[in-house]
Amino acid sequence: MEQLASLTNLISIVAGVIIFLYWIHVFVILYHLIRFGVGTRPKQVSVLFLAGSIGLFTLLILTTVSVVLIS
Amino acid sequence: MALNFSFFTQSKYTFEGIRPDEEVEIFLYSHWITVVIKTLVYTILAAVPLLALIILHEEVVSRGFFGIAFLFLIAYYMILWAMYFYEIMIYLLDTWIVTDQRILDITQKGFFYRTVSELDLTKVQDISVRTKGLIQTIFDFGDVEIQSAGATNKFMFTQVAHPNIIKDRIMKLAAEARKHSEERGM
Repeated sequence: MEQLASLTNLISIVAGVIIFLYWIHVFVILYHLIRFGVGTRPKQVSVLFLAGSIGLFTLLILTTVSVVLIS
Repeated sequence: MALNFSFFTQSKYTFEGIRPDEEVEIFLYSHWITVVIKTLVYTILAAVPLLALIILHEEVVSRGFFGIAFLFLIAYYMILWAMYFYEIMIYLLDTWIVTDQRILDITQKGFFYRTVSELDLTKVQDISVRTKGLIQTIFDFGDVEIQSAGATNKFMFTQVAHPNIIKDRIMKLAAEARKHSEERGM
């Protein structure tokens, strides 16, 4: 039982680190598009990218919650 | 408080380091077909696990793994999304700008590898166009190579649309820049 709890903690920490790195990656892409992009297209693409990232992340959280609740 | 979205339009044809008396004449990305090819690859990568989940749906549900499988699918799509937009970012930041004074070659090869090369229009000597293969011929795109006086490195616009039109416009702009330069020198 104790081993299962520590495994769950480990999985949570790894998932947290991956999600943190994912958002760093998203931020760096957005930063480059807005900071160095010439013209309007990079800015429009950055909005689309941010919206998709937030949408997917929300879906991930909702799915995780439903999986945890079912189990 | 009104929301201000003017940053979508204000930056049109302006870039870091533009001179006050400078105007952008040509602004180029690689041809759109290069993005279409990448988009197709990512579409296939996105479709394969989704199709697998649809095909194996009943078995996955009966074993009680549907939630976990869906969770992994969403995580996979998040990674694909970030990778695809990384490619789009590289495409959008790898540009060529021709102003009425100079040519700028901006190369982005990664997050932290960016080079900006500059060539004065008066130093343009000759320009050659290279279109190779069936796809480039059909879609009218190719490479434009600019040879400058004294420079060892050639300027290369790779896989740009309508290379012959670009060549003619740069030649015209270079002639005008030389004329202005001579007038100022007199």
